[in-house]
Amino acid sequence: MSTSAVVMMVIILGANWGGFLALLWLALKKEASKRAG
Amino acid sequence: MAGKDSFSSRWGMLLAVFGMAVGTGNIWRFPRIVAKNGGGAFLIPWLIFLFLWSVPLLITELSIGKKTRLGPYGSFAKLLGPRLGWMGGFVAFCTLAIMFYYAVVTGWTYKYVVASAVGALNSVSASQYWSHFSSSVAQPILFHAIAFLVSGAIVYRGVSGGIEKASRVLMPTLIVLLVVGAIRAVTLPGAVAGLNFLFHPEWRSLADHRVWLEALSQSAWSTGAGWGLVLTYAVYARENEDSVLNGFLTGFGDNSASLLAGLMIFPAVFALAPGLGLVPEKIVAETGPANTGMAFIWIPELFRQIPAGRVFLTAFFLALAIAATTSLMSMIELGVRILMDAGWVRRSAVVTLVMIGFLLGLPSAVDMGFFENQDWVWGLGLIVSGLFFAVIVIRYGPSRFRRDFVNVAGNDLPVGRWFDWTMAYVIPLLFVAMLGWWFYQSATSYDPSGWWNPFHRFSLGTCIVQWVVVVALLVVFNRRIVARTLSREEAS
Repeated sequence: MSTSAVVMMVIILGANWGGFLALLWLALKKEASKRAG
Repeated sequence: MAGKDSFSSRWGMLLAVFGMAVGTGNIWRFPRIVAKNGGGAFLIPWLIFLFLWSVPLLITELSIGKKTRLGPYGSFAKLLGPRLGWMGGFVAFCTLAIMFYYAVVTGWTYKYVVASAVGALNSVSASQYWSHFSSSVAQPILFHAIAFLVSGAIVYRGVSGGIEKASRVLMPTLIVLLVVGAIRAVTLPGAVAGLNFLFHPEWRSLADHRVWLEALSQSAWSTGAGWGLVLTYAVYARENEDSVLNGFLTGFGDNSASLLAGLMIFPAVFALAPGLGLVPEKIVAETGPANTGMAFIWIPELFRQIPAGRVFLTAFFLALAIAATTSLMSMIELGVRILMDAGWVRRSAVVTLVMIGFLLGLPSAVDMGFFENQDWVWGLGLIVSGLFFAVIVIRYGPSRFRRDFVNVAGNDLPVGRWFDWTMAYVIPLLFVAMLGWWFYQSATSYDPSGWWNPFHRFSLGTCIVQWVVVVALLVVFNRRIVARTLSREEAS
């Protein structure tokens, strides 16, 4: 695999999957505080 | 009003919304479009347009549905005034027109789940099998009917008891199937070539306007933004439900599913195609009739070569079938919501809609040319639908809309001024660019000599004529539909 392909894979998967998981974590936190409050 | 039925939790609603967004397009269209448009470089504009088109529209739909508690027709009539209710009718019609032939596609996936599970695809070449199946009249109709019966039965049971319950089982299953498929594909000998093709950036392609327009179209069609489907599900959201974070989650979730599908398709094709003397790049970009080439012909051919290929092939078609079913459910629910807004009870609305949908889908089930024409006309219609949502925001006032609809109690993330600019300027601009480009394609590439002819499959003329007929009918019946919808809403 070329270096540029590896870099792009890390960026794209990181942005999409990382972004999705970060948002999911935030939603879990917000939901927990809604329930508590 | 939505009545008492609603999603039991945020996660129930999100799974249903993911089910709506993740469809067959994520699994068979996304890899083809990536392959045709420069691999890794394409993924950059595709991600950019998630923020410039899809997410703002998803937030808009979620906010409107939650606030008005009405389907597209009632929402547009309430927010733009009764005289412009027909615009919501156009949004709904585009999605329902897609539903008619999408049930046909769903039926194909069911047929192939059965065929791969019983090993029927092993005894004959995949291309022969497809041509035998698609040229027969009875089988596509039978599976088209089954598709409507399955999704209709789920919607018949209501939102929490049907759509939410089914999504809670189907969506995790779909994700597991995609993950298992991706792991199997990337561990095949030679799979690295596929990963390289998927992610290697051809930077020159970024200078090509077609790559940007394909990326925009893919994002718009894949996320379901501007279809009225998210609005419909938001009608059943809890009172204090969030719109902004859920809008972002939907967009990122849909993109993530597409990438997972890409990680399954590209490595598998690049690892297995050379064994059959085939060129992987051509296979991934292969369209075939109604874009069926890769999924229904090449994947079965390729999967035959791996150990336990029948199991993986069945899993692949099961993933397609689940993705299609959850999307079809949301389309049926959109029609049902409109009928319920006009006073129908759910059960008769579902039965009527499923019967009408089945009948109007029949021409697409038996004639691929008709199918392709409808896909062309109403796929482009969705771009107009996206603009119509921007019209609501512009007419209401973007800042005022943000204050009254989006940044309200229960919202988890405040949305800033970027939303105003995107809805007021960027989306109308992207609408002009996207629709203008597809029409230009029709006139210069798809049908240069007959672009004006309404009876040609991919002509500009067929789009305009079909849209005008639908708009004219909606305008004629607008007063009656709006009166029924809003009078019931005011009474409740």
